[in-house]
Amino acid sequence: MSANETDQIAPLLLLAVRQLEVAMEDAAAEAELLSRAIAALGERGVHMRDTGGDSTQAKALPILADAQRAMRALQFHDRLSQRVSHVRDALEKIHGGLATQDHDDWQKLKRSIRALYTMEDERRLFDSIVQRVPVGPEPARDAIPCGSVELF
Amino acid sequence: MTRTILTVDDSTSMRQMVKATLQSAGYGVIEAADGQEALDFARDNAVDLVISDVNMPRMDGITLIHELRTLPSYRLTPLLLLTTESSQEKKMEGKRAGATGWIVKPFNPDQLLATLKRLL
Repeated sequence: MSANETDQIAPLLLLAVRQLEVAMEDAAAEAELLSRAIAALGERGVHMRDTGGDSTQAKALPILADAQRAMRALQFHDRLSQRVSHVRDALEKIHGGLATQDHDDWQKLKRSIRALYTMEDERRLFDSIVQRVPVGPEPARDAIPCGSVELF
Repeated sequence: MTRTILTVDDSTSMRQMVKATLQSAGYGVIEAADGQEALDFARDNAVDLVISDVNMPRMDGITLIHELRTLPSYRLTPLLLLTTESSQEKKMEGKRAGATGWIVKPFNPDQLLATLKRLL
């Protein structure tokens, strides 16, 4: 890559990094508000269940079920923000290594970027696209073991 | 007697979700934003169980588990990792460090409570 091309690409990469950071900060603030609201709803449901009469208890159960569903759904924000932060960190690394002409340095950079991707499906994508390794068909979304518990 | 659980995650919203779930079942909850904060707390205080994220700034969850196992009051305490990571390699790393179990996010509140009931 010529010095001129590097000069053109470098600020665009930094811009992408900053845009991702701003998006993550915005989303985190909203997710926090939402999580507080859901937690408060859950607390109210628990209070109704534990202290109310039969009819109040019956009303509490769907509230608790809704709060639990919302809690589960909101956790996808955590997965999403981790994915975005991995992409942001990878772009930062590429920005740092942009000027290199050395093949070994690029290989090192790729390894350090792969190490950023901590989820199995992220690594799978990396291997398929960057390493060009055949990785077989993508697992179905419901095959991702969300919520699985393994005791050692 | 109220059982106390230490929950460790750098995401405020995740801590909220775990805390709300645990409190709904009557557990007392202590929060820490990363492994270092949790370890600093644990050096002077015992809890009944720890639930920790893996990827966190300052100190990750696997290092935390390893460090907690060196403390006499945490030798037998159930230590759970709650994480987006599902790779076998990472799981084994957690097991070697001394984790009691591995839960993949997003957690199911009922399932989490059933697991705690089994462990406590």
